Amino acid sequence: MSHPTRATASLVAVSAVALVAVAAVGLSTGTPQIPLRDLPQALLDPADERVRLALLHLRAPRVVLAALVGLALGLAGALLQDGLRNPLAAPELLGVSSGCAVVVAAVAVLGVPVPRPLVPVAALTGGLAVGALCVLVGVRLRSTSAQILCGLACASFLSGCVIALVTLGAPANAALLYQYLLGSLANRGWADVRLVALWLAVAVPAGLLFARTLNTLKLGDDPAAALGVRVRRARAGLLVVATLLTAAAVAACGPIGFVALLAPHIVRRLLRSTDARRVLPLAALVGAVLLTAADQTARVVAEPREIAAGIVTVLVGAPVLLALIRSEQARSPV
Amino acid sequence: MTALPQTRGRSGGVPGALPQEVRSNERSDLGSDPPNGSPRGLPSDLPRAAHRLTWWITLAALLLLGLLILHLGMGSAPLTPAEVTAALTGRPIEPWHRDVVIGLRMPRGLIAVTAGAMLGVAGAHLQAVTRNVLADPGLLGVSAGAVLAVVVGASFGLVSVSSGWTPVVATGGALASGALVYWLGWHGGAADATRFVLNGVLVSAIGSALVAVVLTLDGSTFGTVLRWIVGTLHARTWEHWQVLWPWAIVSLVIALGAIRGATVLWSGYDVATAVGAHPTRIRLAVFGSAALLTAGAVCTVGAVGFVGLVAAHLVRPLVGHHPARVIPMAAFAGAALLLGADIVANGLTFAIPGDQIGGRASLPTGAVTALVGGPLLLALILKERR
Repeated sequence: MSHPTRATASLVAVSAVALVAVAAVGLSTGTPQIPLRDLPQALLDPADERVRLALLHLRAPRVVLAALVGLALGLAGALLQDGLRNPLAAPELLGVSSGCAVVVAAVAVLGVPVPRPLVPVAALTGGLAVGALCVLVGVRLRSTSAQILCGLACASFLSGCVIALVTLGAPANAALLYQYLLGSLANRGWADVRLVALWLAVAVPAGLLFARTLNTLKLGDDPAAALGVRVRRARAGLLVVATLLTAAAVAACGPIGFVALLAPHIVRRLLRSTDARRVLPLAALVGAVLLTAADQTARVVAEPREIAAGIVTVLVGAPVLLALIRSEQARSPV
Repeated sequence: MTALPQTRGRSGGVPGALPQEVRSNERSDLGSDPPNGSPRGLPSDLPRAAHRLTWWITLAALLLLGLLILHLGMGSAPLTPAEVTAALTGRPIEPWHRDVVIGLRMPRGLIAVTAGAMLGVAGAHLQAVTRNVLADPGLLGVSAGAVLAVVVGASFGLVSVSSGWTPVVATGGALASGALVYWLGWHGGAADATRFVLNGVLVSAIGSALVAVVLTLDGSTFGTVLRWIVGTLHARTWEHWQVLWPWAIVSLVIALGAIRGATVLWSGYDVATAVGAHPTRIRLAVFGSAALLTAGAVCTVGAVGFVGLVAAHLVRPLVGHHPARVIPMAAFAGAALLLGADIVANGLTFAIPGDQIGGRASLPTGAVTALVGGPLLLALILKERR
């Protein structure tokens, strides 16, 4: 806790630089390749129609979307981990992501007439229902691992639902939906960006407002209540906001795992502080960096093919979660 | 852990303190002997069915036969059970019934029965040996390792689904991922049941992500492999059966031989050491047999989840917790479950109107088992923790 302010400032600076660097690399790689040197000029005044199309309509929306979705996920993860006092909490581990995904898949496959901007609302109801179930059930369980396993049990049930929906409803689109279920940012345009931005404009400020409450909640339920926090109401509010953030993300690019889990942990380790007023915004920023980097890795690593961004996040995130469980186990042996 | 009260309950009263007449009354109530050599006539809180294991096994076999006949009747040309029986006994009502039942549908049914039995036995073994009621080949990452090995092998052209080497490759993967989960869970003392499974689920997640990478890089077999990953019995032929049956016989025999070892470990580490067994050695042997079983099943039907978990829990209320009774019954329960799940999947598939047979949807059986298994897992976690 030596220099929280300086640590915060340097983390902000490093993440911002990383974000810009990843975005620049993302904008420049691909066909046509645009050298980094020429990138500003190409962005402002593209000489070539081909370059303009590739930059402004293919690559830029993707980078922006990855940053926005990563931001939403990082914030959602920080809210859930602090609010539930469970260091392993994350939307995908509490069934929230699967709840959203089932609804999105049902809307897409069954052709439910939901207007496009309202798809996140529909996803929200699904995510909220499953998330609330998992949290209600999980509160009774002492161990954080058991809580997470509850979420995973719900998730496997829901993935059965999604597979049934997809194979029965749209067998021809199986591959496409597989991509979606892994979480992918391929082929997204400005329409998706607008959709997510609209929702985040509401949800992000709401999430950041919870910072003080979160700090109080961390003391424990009874001390928080004694200090005037309405614990249940605050938790319900937290869950709604976190689900809203997740729903927007899932509606745009599928259930991308582990960004929400990792971002807050990275921030807490680097800051050596658990102050939610710092952790929340920084987790959002780090989440944006993580997802943008993961998406660009997924794009570049196996050119000309592209692997889903969700795969990259799982391959990085799951081992880290395993390590977290190990360290938690070492601290509190059963 | 929950397995223990059964043993404690059985010897709940001190035998010597029991009045003679009470004991004789109990004996007349019991009818026949408990099968596992517990002293004659002691009061027992075993389920009644546990004393009639043979009877239950016969009943389960008959039920399985009934399900199989039902299963063979399903398809784009539905047949009644009577028509199926006639075709099976060699006197088909129409000549084509024989071709449809024996030639086309029989392998699928047989594979469902055999693979289900293998998964059921693997699940019961794992539950006994880890003393963890949440254990299941799918949840402990064993299936995911087998799938990964086969997909990697197939994309490098080393194996095809109908080659005899596929189960060998799959066993390698199953053993590797099982060992990883074991190492993660057992490091530094006793394993907590839920943490152990959580490790398994995460290792599975990594495995399926790697499978997705391989599939993306080599998109040629995407559609078929995709269904197979979820677990499906769609379009299984005698060719697949040829791969499955030798493997099934060998691994089931090994697994039945390992029941004693599983029982010793199920009694607890201290007991196992006290009777002179080598817990680690036995554990590895039982894990190995579970990996063999899982790998064989996964090769043919894919990573159908939860069959092992559900099968073992289905038979416990009937025959008690002792592995010597649970494991054989779990074979029948697993077979019935997978067959039943396939009947549901098939029924739903044919309930959806499709225009042509070739391109019609087929619901993977694994989706049905996940729909049953997910809620059961949830209920078990709650029960375990309360």
